[in-house]
Amino acid sequence: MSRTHRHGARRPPLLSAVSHLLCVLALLACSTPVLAHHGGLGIEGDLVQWALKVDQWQDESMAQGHRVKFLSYPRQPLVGNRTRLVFEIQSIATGQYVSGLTAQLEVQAPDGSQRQLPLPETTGVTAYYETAMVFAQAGDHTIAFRSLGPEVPFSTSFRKAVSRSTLRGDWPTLLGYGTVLAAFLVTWLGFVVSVQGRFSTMRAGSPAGSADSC
Amino acid sequence: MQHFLEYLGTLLHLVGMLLFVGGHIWFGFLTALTERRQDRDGARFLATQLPFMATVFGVGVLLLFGSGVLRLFVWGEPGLIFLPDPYGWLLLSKLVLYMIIVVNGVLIERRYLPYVFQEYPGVSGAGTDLRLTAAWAQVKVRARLNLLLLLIVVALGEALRYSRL
Repeated sequence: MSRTHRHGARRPPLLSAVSHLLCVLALLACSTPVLAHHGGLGIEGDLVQWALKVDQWQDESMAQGHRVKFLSYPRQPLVGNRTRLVFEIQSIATGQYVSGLTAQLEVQAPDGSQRQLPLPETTGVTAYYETAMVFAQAGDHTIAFRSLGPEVPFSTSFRKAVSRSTLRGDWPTLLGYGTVLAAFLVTWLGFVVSVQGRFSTMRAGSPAGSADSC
Repeated sequence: MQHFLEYLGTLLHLVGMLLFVGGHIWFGFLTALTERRQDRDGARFLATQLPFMATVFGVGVLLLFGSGVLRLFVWGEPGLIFLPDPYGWLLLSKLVLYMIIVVNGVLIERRYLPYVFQEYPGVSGAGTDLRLTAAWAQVKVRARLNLLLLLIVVALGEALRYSRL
């Protein structure tokens, strides 16, 4: 009994992998920017940040049977800059996303002043509620999500630090800048010392001993 | 432009890894081979190539750091390294280990490299012979430490791919 092997009809694995990769790249290049998905917030036209997942949920809270996820974009809000505040509501019991809520946002500034904003559901994305605001003060803000619906009213709050500039942020920001600066200084020092060593004359003798250690 | 810089950064990071990590792997492998075979000529040859290797490793370090920082600037996150997310802590660990590696490399180059050879009178009485000193052992030990740290950094880099921000 003979078995026919159609080697000629099959593409080699490498060629197949390359063609798949090209297809994926083509799809990515042609894809329409997406505003929101259930992993967080898509940043339009920014495949790099999308791929990096810098758009993931940043905080989460439970309130009366609901899981409320929250993110801000940019992650570190700046005074005077527009910041998107996005929420996603999910039922803890069923896991289903909850849409159709009448939601409101209450933002309390560090000086105690409060501001209320309507929080409409994002069109076309189930259970996404988003608004944008410009923070006027630096410091810790309390952002309260309130569902005002007739069925199950619930509320929960999150804290968000607002900075005056990207250089004057909270401790993670400063630690990040400090670490990169330290790494730069060490690299620069190493480079300078290395170049100096090239120009210095070879010194005779060994302080480490003269035994053949090979 | 952002995509171009992103890909350029990745490419240069890979080239830097080839030079620096690959160089350390080969150096560690070859020195271990000379030790196992008691190959003094081989060890002497490796020792004579140390200045060249130091240059290659130096270029690798500059490429790695330059491309890494380039990507951080392209991504433009406040604080640059994505703290306090897990991604940021992994990146912080990488940077701290990187600094230890560079300091160790500088110590190797300044403290031990110039003293790897010592002149001895030739056996025939005419001229001098070059012999390896204890500094050569220090170079090997510290290079292996750097290789170990580098492998941890590479592992952390792989972990970065799967860490959620």
